[in-house]
Amino acid sequence: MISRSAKKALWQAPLLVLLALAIGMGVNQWRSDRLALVGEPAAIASLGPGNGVDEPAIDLAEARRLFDLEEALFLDARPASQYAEGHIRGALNLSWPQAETEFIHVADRLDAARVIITYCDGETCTLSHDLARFLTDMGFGNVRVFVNGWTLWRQAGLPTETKTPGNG
Amino acid sequence: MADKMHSSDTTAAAATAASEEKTGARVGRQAGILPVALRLLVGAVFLYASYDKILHPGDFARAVGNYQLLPAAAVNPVAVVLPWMELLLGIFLLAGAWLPGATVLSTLLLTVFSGALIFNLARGLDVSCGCFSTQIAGSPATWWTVARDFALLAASIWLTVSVFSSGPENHRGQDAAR
Repeated sequence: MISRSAKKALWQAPLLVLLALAIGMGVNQWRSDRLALVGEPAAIASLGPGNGVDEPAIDLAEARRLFDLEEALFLDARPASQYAEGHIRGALNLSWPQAETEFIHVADRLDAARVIITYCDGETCTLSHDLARFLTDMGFGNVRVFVNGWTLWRQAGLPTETKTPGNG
Repeated sequence: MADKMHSSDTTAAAATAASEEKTGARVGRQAGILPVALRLLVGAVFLYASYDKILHPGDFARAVGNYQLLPAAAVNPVAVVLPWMELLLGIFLLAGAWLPGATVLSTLLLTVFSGALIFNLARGLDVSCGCFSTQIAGSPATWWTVARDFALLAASIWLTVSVFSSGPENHRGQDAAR
């Protein structure tokens, strides 16, 4: 009995996977909100205007330029524990989704900032997107997302710190 | 669909009962109910799980990406195919068709899901489950989520073992009814 079932499983399981692959890809091709299967990672693709949110992503060079000009306020959207282990120098911690209630404590700094840059870690991390979207909805203008910010920043050897800035 | 399943299973149960009375195997009759119930349960859960993901592939892709386990290039393809895999498994399990293949795949998938959940909980990553809803803010993954997954996994393993040890005939309604 066992070998008979095993033999069946050997062709049924791959066939089921192939079927799912064909239907999934086929339907994705046909639907209007299709996902790009090659190229852009989901998190970056989700930045498009399709989401109805204006939160342009910026790259490392632009983030660095704004940092050097001291024009931007960096917001670390990761959990407080990861923020404590290290973050972009001068960045404030506003963890998503706690930011919905916590942002009031840094509202003055946000108001004063010309550009707000949110970041988290990893190309697919969406905390920064969610935070940016939230801040935009709250009426803050000029919110940008530095995709994969923490990793890129560290790899470039740019200034970081482990302690919390004076206020915040 | 549910009605059709129900009627076919009732027919199947009757057919099983009849054949057992003929052979005088009264013990086997009780053992036959649990696999069917588990099969319907796991199938229904897969069916339910696929629904929201198929409707919102973009949101599901973000949920998959949040796990930070797959290379970026694999996130979208997985988000596109996985929900259909779940739908197919749900349909096949409910219908009692291709049970050797379907139970093995369901066990495999649930093992991967549990592993991904545990891995991210252990490394302290705050991910959304993305199990039944694609709303990232709504359903944080917790140890409770893992327990739920383990319960399903246990059911799936049990089902797989019972299919493999007694052959699919005892579990399948459809073919006997046809």
